[in-house]
Amino acid sequence: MKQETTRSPVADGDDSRRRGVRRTVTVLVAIVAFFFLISFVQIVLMK
Amino acid sequence: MSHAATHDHHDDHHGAPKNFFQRWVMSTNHKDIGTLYLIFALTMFFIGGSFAMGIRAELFKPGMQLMQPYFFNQLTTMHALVMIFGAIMPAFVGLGNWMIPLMVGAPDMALPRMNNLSFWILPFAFILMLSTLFMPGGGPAGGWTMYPPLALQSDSLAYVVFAVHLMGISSIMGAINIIATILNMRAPGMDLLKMPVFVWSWLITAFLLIAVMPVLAGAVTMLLTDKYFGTNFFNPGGGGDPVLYQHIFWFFGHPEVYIMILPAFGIISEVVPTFARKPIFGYKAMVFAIACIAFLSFIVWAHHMFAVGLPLGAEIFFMYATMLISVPTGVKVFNWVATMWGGSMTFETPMLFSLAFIILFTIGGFSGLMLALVPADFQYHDTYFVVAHFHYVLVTGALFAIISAAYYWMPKWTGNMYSEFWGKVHFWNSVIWVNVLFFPQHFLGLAGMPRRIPDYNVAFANFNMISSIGGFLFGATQLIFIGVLIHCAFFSKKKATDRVWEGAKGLEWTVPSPAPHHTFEVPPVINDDELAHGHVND
Repeated sequence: MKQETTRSPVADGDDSRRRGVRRTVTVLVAIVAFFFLISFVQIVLMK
Repeated sequence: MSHAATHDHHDDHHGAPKNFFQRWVMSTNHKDIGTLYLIFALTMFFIGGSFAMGIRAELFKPGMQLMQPYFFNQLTTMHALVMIFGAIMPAFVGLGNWMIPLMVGAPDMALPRMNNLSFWILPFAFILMLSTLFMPGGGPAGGWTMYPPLALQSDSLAYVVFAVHLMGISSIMGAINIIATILNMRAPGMDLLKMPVFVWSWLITAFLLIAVMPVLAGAVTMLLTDKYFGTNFFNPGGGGDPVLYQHIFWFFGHPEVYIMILPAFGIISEVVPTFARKPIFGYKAMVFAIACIAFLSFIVWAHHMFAVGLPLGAEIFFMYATMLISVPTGVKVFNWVATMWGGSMTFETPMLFSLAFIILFTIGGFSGLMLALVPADFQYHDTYFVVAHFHYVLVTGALFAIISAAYYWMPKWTGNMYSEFWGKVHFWNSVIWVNVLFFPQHFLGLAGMPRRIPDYNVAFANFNMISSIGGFLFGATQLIFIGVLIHCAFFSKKKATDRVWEGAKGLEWTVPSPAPHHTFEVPPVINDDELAHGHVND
């Protein structure tokens, strides 16, 4: 099986990928923390 | 294209580590971790299945036969927890791990070491949870929902809560990894609206996981502090309210149902076009329908609580919101049918399981629509009708999709073709016995048989016996699946081609079979004709 590849190894674009991954993870962790805390806030408010 | 090069070794200049420990315990390779997830899920499927056999054996005829009622309650609780968190969810994560990087042209997951950790947390979580069965006082017996005050009476609560926390951490890390991979690691030219529907379904599912697993963690943490640290979140004596737990649990629990079915929709959307030899009908509508279902899943949670005493306005809102879900779900079912319409269809085992999914999942969807009606739900609530409904959705829905995916991608994973004859034997036995198992449970529920009871009125005897016979034979049929898997992986003489299926399209079919240990270290050139949805924007 022959498959065409771009001749640009991943390493060339590594920095932008790494920055993108870091930014994504930061946002997602913030969402996780928000939903964890909101469950307690919700309970306290509803009581 | 002018700078494109061709090569045929797929960057496999360093293969898998030879050392067993290094390869399987220290692995950061998405394919190996995907395999680990799938083996784990299969193991849990049989452990959870053995609990189901115990349940059906006890219910074979009226009266107490084999076990004490408290142990029966432990079996129903453990069966649900093991099947949901141990079998169905890890199986989808395994399929995602294996296929998402291959489908988007990424060399691996975005966070490979976290991927390893996500997996290896799971066996410890389940060993912890299952070990409670052997402890004084036994395992959890208050149902998988862990409603207080009943769940607070269990001696094993702390173990189960810790296990649920571990599963939650594993799922959250897995979801973060999948989102980060899809958003950042796609090969140049793999636009979002060119991605396979399976990848889309996992992207949306991962967002659901991110939003609801922390809420479950919060709920069970409150259970723990209520039992051991003197808080009163759910204790009316201290100003708390047990119904609040139900709200917060089902805010997690209902999206959880979609976490277990959206990736299944993605799988069916891959398999049906392949064996109909046509592109999927309405690609954008399919993606949009998945997003709609995910959104609606957040605003329907109280339909699990109609009988608890909600205000009338809330009951009406949740009833209509729930019924609304049938619109995007209907779009999907009609689009699968439209994909097949006029197609040049063949009926290999993956297609058979997908067709069974479409028909039987729709039956589960219809009984769900019946349960959504407030006045009707007062009749059906906590009866075997509910048990029949969610088993149609989760067994003939989620599980059949997973089995379909296993047959579909197995040649790509192993490099060998499975036995089509035994695959079909597995299919026909599964589809017959699963209906013998679950269809009579609709009648039992309508006649008023409550769920979660070890003994019942003699009026329910015949349908229970039929259901149990179906259960034993469905369970035994799954042993054929094990045989097919082992034969395919180790003994099959028939080698798989790279494309495997005549109508298959997508990047995963451009790599050799079996897929090399490392793929796409140099991003592939995206040729729109190669993709299943390459011309969607034309």
